[in-house]
Amino acid sequence: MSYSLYVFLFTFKQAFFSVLLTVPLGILMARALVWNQGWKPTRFCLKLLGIPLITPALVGILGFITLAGYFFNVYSFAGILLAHLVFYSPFVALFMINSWRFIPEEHYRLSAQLHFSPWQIFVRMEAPQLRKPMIEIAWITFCLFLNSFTTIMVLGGGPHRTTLSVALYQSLFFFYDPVQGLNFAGLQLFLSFSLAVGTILFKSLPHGSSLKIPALPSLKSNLQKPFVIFSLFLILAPLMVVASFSFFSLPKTLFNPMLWQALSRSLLISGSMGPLCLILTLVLVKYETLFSKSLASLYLLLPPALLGAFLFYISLEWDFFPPEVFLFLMQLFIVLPFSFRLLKEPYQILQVTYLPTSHSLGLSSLQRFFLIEWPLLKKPFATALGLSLALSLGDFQSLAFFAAPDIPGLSSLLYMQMGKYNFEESMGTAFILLLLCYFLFQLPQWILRTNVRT
Amino acid sequence: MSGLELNNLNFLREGFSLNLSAVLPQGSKTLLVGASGAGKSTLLSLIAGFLYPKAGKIMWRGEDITSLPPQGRPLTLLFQEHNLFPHLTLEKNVTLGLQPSLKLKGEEKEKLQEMLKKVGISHLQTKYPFELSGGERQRAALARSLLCQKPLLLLDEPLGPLGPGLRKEMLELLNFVADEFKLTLLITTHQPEEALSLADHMLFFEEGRIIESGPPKTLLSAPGCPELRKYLGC
Repeated sequence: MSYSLYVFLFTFKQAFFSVLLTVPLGILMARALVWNQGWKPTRFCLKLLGIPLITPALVGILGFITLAGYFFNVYSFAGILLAHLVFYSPFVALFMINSWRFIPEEHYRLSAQLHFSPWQIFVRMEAPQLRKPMIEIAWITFCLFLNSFTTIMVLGGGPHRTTLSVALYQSLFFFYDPVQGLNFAGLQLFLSFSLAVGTILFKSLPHGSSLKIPALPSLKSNLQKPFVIFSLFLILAPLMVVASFSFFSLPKTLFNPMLWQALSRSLLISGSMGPLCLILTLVLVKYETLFSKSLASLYLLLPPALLGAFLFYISLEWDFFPPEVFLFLMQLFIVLPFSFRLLKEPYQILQVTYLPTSHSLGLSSLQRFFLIEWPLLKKPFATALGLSLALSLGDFQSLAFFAAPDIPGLSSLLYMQMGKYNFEESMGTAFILLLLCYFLFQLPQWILRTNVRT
Repeated sequence: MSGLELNNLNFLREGFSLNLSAVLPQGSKTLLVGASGAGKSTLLSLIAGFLYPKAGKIMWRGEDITSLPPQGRPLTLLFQEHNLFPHLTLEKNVTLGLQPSLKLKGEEKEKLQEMLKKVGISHLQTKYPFELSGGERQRAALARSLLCQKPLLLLDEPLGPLGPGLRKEMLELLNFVADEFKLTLLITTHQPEEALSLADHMLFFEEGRIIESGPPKTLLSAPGCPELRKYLGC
């Protein structure tokens, strides 16, 4: 078997088994949270479910390695699967909880009246109504795992445990073999095309179209409470490990001049990327084109590694551009789909719901914006900006491709420290990165006071 | 003979309190009338066991059922909508009233067919809920409730989603099954005039309290309290 084919098959194998573990666990977590939503730990857990989305991948992996490393060899196939499970099951749970909102509460009451056992409730009532979102999330996670980069880079990385994305990167930067790189890029392109076809086939209809999100059914199940605690553990444990270990190493980290250099560079990139990305998103949302329609799925279909390789080849040809230009472009493609997803639906619903009324009232575009659109879009706008800032700051892939080792960003500095097994300093750097990401994510919401009712 | 007794029932929720006592004789057909937000559905949920009162007792034929779970109570509740599971055919939806496992024995199969005929939907067995009209869906839900063989039937706005013609049909059907199966009915409605032919008793409900009660014809022709007069637009 050729090496390219081996990598291709390994990419599928790890994605398949990761889905097999992550999706059922995420569904169990979601069900436990839905069934115990009135319980205080559940309410806390619901607030934390989104955290893995803004936690820089490297920080999560560092916490995971530290914790799971006590029990088994994390630099293995099992390590990759378990890391995927830890980072993505809260994402699956978050997605599935929103689907649970569309099961009418009457169906639970009927089930109770009809003597359904807990298993019968799931099989007869919940599962059939959740079939579409279950297939959809399985497909989304499968695509994400196929394009997994940072986890594989740290926990796999060797020739026997590498995915197409990582193999492509390593061909260019470790083995300096552009021909092999092109070979992997071709395979990755084929994979992306197949995923695009699959996505069209699996695309499910969006749930409802209302500004008002239906409430979760009011349920109670003591049997499922352990899963709530487990969910909390899964989300918090890796972060708590980083936070607690960094406590001792933080002073040493803070005296490292490299840290401040990396910090200012990362903040500069993120500070310019966030607003730029948001302006572009607004333009794309307002003037929707064929390109912007498929933009929301771009991250799933076009892996950043492929994009990075493409930009890398261009940068070799157009060497008069500084690498920052390509770094910016790569980050833009990474962040844009997320902010676009966040703003597109609220904007469209707003147009459908209020545009006719605004026209009948004779409101000008400006009046419409300030009176109707801005107050109602302020919250998704702040979330999109916060997410752009945090994702840009925590992104490792773009830095891996375009940051020079002597002037790294925070993520690439952390990767270098982890690579040198500099445990103490990497904990400190990870903690600072983590705090900054959360701070930047929240900052627009504080400034725009999105918690104030409008 | 006393059927359902609500003794000093008290329930509190943010900005809403329910306080009442009432007796519904066995075999009676009672209308629960009141504006939206008066607490009609809350009361049904309390009786059905989906909510629990802060104080007071719910009795059925002298037996305290206040702390029983929904499935242990001698009643079924029919909702305004979402009575059928969308992924199951009409036949399977109704079968659930007999067997949650959906596996029927010979005798049970006969029972099911008989019930489907009685409510006039035996020709629709293979249809899914989205292929049925509002009236057909309500008939299917009613058939399932009847198969549960519970003596008390609570109906939360059963006529709400139906057009005028179907409302009349449904009322006739309810009248028929109530007599045939000797049921005690408690029905919430916004439009009591329509249900005059069905009910023999009426409770007027406002802000979680029973303001007036009596025979529906008397209350509607000569409402005593100002709240009911205002509600009826007299």
